[in-house]
Amino acid sequence: MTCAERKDLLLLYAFDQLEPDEARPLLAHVRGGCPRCTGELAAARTIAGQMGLAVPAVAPSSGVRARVLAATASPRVRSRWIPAAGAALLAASVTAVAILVPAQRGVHALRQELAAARVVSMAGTGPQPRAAARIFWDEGRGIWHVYLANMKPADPGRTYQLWFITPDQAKVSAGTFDVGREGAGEITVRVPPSLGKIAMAAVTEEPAGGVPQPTGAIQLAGKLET
Amino acid sequence: MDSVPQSGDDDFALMEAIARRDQGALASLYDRHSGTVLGTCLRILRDRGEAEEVAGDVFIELWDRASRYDPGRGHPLAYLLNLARSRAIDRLRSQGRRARMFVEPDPREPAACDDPLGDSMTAQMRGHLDRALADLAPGQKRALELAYFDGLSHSEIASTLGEPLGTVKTRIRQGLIRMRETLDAMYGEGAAS
Repeated sequence: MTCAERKDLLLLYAFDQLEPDEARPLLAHVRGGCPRCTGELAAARTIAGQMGLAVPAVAPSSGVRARVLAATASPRVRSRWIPAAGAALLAASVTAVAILVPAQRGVHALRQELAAARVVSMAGTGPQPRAAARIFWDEGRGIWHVYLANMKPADPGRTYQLWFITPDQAKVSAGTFDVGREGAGEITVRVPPSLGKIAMAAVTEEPAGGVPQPTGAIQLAGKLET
Repeated sequence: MDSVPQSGDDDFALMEAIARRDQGALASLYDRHSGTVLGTCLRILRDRGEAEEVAGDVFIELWDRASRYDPGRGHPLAYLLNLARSRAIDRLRSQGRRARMFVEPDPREPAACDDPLGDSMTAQMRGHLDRALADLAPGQKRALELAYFDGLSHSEIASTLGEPLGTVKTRIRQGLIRMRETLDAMYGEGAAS
């Protein structure tokens, strides 16, 4: 079975319309790390959730909110991004260099790298709910291979920019990239050793050439640390 | 990427904050999406009291599971609504209740709100879905609604509609594919505008 054939099955699975014996091999394939099918499953789940919008919203009684807050009462922690100035300071001290995938690299070598890599997913957000990406993180060499799918081409004069986001919400550019007419793209970036922990990855659309700090809406996001 | 979550795009930031046990973020997400969650639960359960109980449980479960939420698995609102549907159908089945056939909204049911707690992103997603559903053949739409909102199996839908099992399976499959194509085309329009 090809990934193109799995696309429809993933949609049926997201809507609970597959029998268990149909779903098992499909999930095994996705868990095996196929970036295309992972993206398709995320897109299918978004459609399934969106189906819940087919009925009107209904305002709950005030007692529901009170019950939820009473059941989840716990000390509050800070939730804001750190000030932009602090992030800019960190960005100035750390340079993330985007590098091209060397054309001469053998397919076998690349497969070996990907097989050993830690895998992180990014999902499309509001502007591009169908977009998806897979990050193959070669922690030994400090390199991310990022493969993107289902993306709109950036508007004229603009480009996509990948960001490392640290646990304290500092945002560090990982480089810019564009996608092809079919919405697929890839970028290989070196993770700055001085960056420390990375909590999230995000993609924004920015003016061509990129910007020191993000100004556009998040197009994709993925969580790295648990 | 502003410092304060303001739009649907920032549901991701709220989920991240909830995973760090920020109850204020949970309250913000609740204020933004509780009407949508309750609408889904009410459509499935058709009982205001039960629907409110399940909707509240959904947000409590979200709080408990937030650290395991993976943004790569889909948009937070979709995650929330999938969880709401799953829990409401679980409730329906645990009570041994037979899901009811789709009927037009009962005028005696509580009035729907005009989504005052929603945001522009939710409104856009709702508009796109409405158009996608309107584009389906009536038989496809009905079969999909019975599967999604009433949790019926293919066999139960076939029995309910008095149609062959194969016809029901085909309608659901083709309906979902059609819906995806329509949504993809609309997001494509958005890209061009």
